[in-house]
Amino acid sequence: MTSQVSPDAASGTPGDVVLRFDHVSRIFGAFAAVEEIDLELHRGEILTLLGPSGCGKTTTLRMAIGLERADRGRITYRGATVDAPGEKIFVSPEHRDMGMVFQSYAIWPHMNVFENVAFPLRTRKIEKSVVAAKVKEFLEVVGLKGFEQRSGMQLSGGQQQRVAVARGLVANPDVLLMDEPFSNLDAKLRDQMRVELKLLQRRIGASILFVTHDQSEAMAISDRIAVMRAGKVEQIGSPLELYTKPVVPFVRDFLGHTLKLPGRVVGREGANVRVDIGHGVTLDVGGMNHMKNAAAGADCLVTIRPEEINVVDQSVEAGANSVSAGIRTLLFLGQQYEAVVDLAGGRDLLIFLPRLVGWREGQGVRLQFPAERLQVWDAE
Amino acid sequence: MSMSLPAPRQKSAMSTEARVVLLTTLLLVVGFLVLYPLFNLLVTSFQTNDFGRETIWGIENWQKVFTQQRIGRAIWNTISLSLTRQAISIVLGVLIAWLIARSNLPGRKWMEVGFWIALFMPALPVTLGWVFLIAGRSGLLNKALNELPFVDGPMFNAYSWWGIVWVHLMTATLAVKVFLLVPAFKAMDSSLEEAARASGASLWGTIRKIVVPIMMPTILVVALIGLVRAMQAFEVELILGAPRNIDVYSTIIFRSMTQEPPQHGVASSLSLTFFFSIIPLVLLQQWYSNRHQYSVVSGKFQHRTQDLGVWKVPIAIAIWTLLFLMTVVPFVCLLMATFMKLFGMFDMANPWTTDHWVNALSRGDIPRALWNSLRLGFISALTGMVAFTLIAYITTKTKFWGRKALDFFTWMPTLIPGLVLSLGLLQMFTGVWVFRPFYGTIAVLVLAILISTVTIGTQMIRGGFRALGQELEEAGWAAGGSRFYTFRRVMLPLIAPTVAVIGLEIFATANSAVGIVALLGTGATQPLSILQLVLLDSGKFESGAVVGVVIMVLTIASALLARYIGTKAGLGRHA
Repeated sequence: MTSQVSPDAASGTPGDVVLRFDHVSRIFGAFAAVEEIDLELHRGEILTLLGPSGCGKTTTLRMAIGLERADRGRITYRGATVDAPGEKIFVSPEHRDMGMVFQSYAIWPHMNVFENVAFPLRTRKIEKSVVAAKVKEFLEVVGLKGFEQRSGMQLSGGQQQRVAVARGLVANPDVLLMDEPFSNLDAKLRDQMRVELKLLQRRIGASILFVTHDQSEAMAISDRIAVMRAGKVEQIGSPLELYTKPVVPFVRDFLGHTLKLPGRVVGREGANVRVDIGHGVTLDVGGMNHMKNAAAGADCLVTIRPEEINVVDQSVEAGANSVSAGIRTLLFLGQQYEAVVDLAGGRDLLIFLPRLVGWREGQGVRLQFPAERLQVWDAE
Repeated sequence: MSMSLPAPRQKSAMSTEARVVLLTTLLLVVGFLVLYPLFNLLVTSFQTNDFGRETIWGIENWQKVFTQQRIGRAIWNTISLSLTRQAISIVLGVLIAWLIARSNLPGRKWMEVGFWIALFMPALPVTLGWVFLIAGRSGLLNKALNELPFVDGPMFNAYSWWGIVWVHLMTATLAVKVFLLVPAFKAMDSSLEEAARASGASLWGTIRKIVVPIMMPTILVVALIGLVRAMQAFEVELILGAPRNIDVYSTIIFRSMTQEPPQHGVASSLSLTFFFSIIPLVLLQQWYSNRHQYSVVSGKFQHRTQDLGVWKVPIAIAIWTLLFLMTVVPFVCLLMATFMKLFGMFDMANPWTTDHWVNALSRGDIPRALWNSLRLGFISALTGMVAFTLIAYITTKTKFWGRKALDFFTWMPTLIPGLVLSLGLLQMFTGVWVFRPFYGTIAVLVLAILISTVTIGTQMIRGGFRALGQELEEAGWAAGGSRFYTFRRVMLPLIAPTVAVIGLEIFATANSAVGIVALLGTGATQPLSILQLVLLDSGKFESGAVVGVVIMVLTIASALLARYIGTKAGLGRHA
């Protein structure tokens, strides 16, 4: 090893911050694509930037490697500043020593698989024998052994994807950036590649900054997710945390399905908030209370994830927090049913029903809402 | 870790500034080369003294442009000739392009190659070929027709208004329409046509009511480009217009430049008049093409051909005949002319001779001109490929502040007729001290060829760069390649076929261009094209034909090579 190696890179331990954004903004004309973002990518984790298109997630990723310049703030990589417009510091992409997988894979069509993967090593003036060994190693890692001489044009989408990943990882970067890498694959292949990527990441311990607009992909693959909207990070946390404890309505609605029941706060019942959802039904909410002021009489929204509702036949005795309803339509999805149920007062809800119980359209059911699963929000 | 990796190097904003300085210098040089000739024309147009005498300022040159009857007639000829052949060629061009791109016409792929060759056919030799065939009484075809009982006197005459139109149609005028429209038609979704057929429209009705309206933006752009080019035409008019005094403005400029004493002032003001009258057309064309750039081509489309039914064979025969007339006929006529004792005189006892070839090869000027042409071709092609690639790259792939201005400069030469530019360059090389040492060297001609090819060259390479996804290059940077390294390893190999095609295009232009070098290529640096012009202008048609054959062989060879490279690299759609 030469003395050029940065100390961080050699002695990094899991949990260290390898890439940091401090109040970073990127402005296009009058439009702030990214606004005052703070992010920390820890060594060995997969951090996903998730959000609808135009939310600034790709711009953030491109700033990480230097394909875009920050207009304000500071980006630090391995403890050294790589972009700080205030101090006129900017390290160009080729000097950042990261790996990146592009949405289109960007497999160079005039080079074969070997040359594509070897490129990052050649730019680093690595000895030929080492290059050959490294390329071989990483092609094996991504399951493309024996494809060295194929042209990029002779590969399927999934294979191009693997070449791109091998190219991104071959120079042992401390960070691999991935920009919607699975969006061009068909559904089945996408599921398979997710698993492969996670296994690969666990094996080689890479830190990955991942960008996607697909919430199920984000939840499946990430250690942590940063949900972005309109250039800002709305919430960062583990997938489970974001799913079960969203702190803003955007995160709640963006991840998975949420059932919403408008109502009015009646008062307190111990630790619970009691809410009248109309037609003589009251619910005790024992989960998170997001209301600024949950005083009696305030309009509110009670939410629950569909799978958290317990559905039983109407013959079962009514308990607390239960509502009677009728199954209007029943769609068999394979692993479960999707059903639209009518509630009193003409409201309906989309819920899921387990496959192994016999359901039929027109059947009367009782929906049981576990108090601790219900959350209450300010009315929208 | 078994491998050593360099830590991030801190790069200050300084090197970026150095790059900006470099690019700005390039912008200024290109801007100067393009704008200075224009500026010079403006100055000269107000100088009324005789050439070489003390400078007198005045507006007489401008007065002449707007009052002289001869000039007025020339302007009318320019407009009427241009409009007539554009009207004919756009109708034919749309039809032929559609047939090649969208129908099941037999041999349509080879027809496309045929039009490609026709596009490259140098105008002057082709003109000579037609003179051989239909020049008044002595025209070969006219003589043959005269044998018929009901024909009296020559049927056709190349030395006429319609003769000029005809020869233009037989050279690039029609071919360029087909060349530009075929790719556009190919990119059209065939389900649009099929929907029309399914709704009960005939094939002809489909073309008229569906294809043409959808393709209208492209057709208009092609027509406008054609009109601008037509108004700049020069050599055909010079040869065919002379006997009947049919002048266009470019021939008047040429004559006022070459007469004794040369009338630089009149030539300048006349040039500027046309420059400014062409500008609105060019702006219109640019505005239109910017607005409608992506209206037709979509990523996802069906490409199926339409059945022509019984018309298949007759139409194919008609187009093959046309191509035969455009390529084989002029070449064969020209070749025949080189072996004749007297141009077109078959009545002589023994009309055939090899003397012209023997003379041509033994006399010094043709081998010398050939050498000049080849030298000019190679040097221009090499410098052009480097310079145009650089400009194209800067204007598409960098964020350099002056990239729009740079792009605009590359469009300027399209606005300026070749002959006018030639005059401007002549003034630049004789007038500016930095350039004076280069006057009389081949550098002058190289610059002229580069300026005349800069538009098509940079625009085609730009197209190539734009077709390469941004991510291909970014992936190179992300993988640690510097800008130059990534350019060399990733971008250049991918763009190379397009660049090679451009190189051949420059080579062909260097061999056949007349207007742009007409006033520059004299004496020791005279290339083949100018030698031919001089020979023809002085009535030595047989020797001129020998030179013409050499030019044709050179240009057609480079055209076919360009085609081959382009098709092999899958450039068929752009190239």
